[in-house]
Amino acid sequence: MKRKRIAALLLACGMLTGSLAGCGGGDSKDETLAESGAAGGGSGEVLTLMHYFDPNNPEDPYSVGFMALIDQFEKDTGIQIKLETVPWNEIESKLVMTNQSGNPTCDLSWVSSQKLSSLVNAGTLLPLDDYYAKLDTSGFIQQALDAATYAGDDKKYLVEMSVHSRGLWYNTDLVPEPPKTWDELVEIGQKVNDPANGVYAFAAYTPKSYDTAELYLAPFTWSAGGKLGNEDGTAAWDNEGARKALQFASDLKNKYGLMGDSCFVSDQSELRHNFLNGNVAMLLENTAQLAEINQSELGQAGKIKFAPIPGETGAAPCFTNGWSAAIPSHSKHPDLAWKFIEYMVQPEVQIAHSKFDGGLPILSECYEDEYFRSAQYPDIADNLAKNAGTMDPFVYYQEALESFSTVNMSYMMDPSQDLEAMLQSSAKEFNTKYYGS
Amino acid sequence: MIEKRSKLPYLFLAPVVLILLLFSYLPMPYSLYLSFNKLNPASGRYEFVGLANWRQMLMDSKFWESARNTFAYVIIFTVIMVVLGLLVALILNSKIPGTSFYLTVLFVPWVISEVIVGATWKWLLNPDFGVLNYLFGGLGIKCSDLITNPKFALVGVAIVAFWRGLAYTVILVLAGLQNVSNDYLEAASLDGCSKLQAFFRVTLPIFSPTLLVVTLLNMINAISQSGIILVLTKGGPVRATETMALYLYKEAFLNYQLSSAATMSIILAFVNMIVVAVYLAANKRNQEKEAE
Repeated sequence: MKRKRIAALLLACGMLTGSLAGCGGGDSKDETLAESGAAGGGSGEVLTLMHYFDPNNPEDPYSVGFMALIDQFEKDTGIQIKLETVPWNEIESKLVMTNQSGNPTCDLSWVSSQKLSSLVNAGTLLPLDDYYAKLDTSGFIQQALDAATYAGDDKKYLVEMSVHSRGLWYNTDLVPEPPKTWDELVEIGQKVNDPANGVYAFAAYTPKSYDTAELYLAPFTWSAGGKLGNEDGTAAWDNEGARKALQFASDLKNKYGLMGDSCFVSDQSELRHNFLNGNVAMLLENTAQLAEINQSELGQAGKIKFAPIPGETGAAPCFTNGWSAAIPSHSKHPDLAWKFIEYMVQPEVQIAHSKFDGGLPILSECYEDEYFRSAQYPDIADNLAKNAGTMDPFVYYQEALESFSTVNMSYMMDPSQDLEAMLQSSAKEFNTKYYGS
Repeated sequence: MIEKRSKLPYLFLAPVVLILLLFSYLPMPYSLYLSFNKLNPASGRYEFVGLANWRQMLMDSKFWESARNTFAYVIIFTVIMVVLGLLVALILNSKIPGTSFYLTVLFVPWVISEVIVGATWKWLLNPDFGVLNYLFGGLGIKCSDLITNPKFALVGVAIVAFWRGLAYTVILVLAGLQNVSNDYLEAASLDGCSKLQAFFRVTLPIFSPTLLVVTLLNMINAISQSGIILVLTKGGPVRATETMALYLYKEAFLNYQLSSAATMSIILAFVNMIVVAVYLAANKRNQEKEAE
């Protein structure tokens, strides 16, 4: 009987331990390549960096590249980096939740610059203006400075580490020369469109998501002389330019049949695979996918090229963003965190980082490097220099862009509706909810 | 002789109770607290705002849209599940050969995770490259409308959720059907009842408490359904499948509006509690009837 009780007690303890095994710790990796290879001596201070790559994966070029940068930083400063790995799509959530508890698990975090407004609205980020004042930003490209600035108070809350833009990727087997205007897009598209044989002329991610607006709805609107928001963050997409943009987007699908229904439901990766498999002739996509595109069969054969987004009468302005370094508002070591940021914005580090990141550097002098004159980089850099724009200054950024994208999707699904009325109603609803006006 | 009560059952219950306390019951008061407070981004502290969050939620058209979607989804899913689950259970109860094999096959979707189910069906229903459109396109049936057409998207999600959860309902219904004594059915047959009449006049009345419990359980599942919807449609097209559970998830984990999400979670919990209370009452009545 006693043995049975002991066995039962052990079993219960085992169940308890097993069920709590998923808690705590999480994805923190204390044993990192950095710690195992770190040089001794120096300040002995430890900086916790939250990032999305696996430091123990030697097959991942990003991991290998970033760890080399960390090693160098540790040798130069004596500051040790402790990495906390979180999946890329959970990093901001984890940052918000842990920071709100007053005890963030990191001193510095990689975040997507698109999430700036949402993160600041959640009180998550430390304003960096005092730190920026000590930094020479004369060599920064303007887009990097704009992306760091929160529309609500004009303060800077992050430092972009690389720049990604959007543009038109095209398959030269199907489209020898890219379109520059909407009319050319339709003309070229109609020549190659062949849905019966599984080839669509054009694809773009089109669900009711904020990235749909970033990808092409905003560029189309800007190229048609319209805007999405006012300086005070209120919605202003009930204008003629926005109406023209959404009408054209709808016509691409409904009038000309150049876009398939999969644009509504497929993920960006699925649309990209369709493009790389030769089922789509032209794809609007982020330049962050450059490495994957060039590793594909078509990419390796040199049959995929990059061009600016076609606008109403010429190249459309494109939206830019990038992974950025940000300091949690309750960070225990903000000064240490800034030291790492200062290191990362040095020209040689920016060049090294961009090579494994796939984005472009934030320093204009880096563009002179031979590497950025190869592959599609010259076209991407040229587009960035000539056409890059920043999103209208929304405080409720994701909510605003999602509202605008929802109007687009709704109209594309039923073009018999009154688009002008839809835009007016949507803008009014947004302004009433967030501004009481 | 007085029997000493064993403490062993409590020991085995301890891990589950601890987890429920930590992750379900203790966070509830905090959610209630959040619903009356709002984060001040400048100070990083929550400040009392009274009923402001509740007022904002009640004036939010997206909240009402998600509430309507939830209500519609619960009705559609429950009707499909109960009616078809009952039909399948009746077939299996008629002692056809291979019943065990069919039950095993039915259970295969049940053991697959919701994420994989959603992702697989998303590919099957892809409008341009999905196999279902390819197979049925020639008959003029556009299966992809189940995820691309706002009019049919809720039905589409319900069908996928039904495919996954059918086994669970069938098992419960089958257990209830097997409680209906054959003597009653034989007596009905002797009295000249057809099989259909026997079902509606004999089987259904005896079996109705179990059917009610099954219906309520499916309603509870439907109210909180989010995994399949998130993967299959992400609440689209155009918010057609954005239920309260999904809207709550978006507010909390994509927009980081914890106060707004907490307010909605209180409403959702309240709705769930009402249905659970009805379920417990029905279950108790069922047990009392069986005891008689």
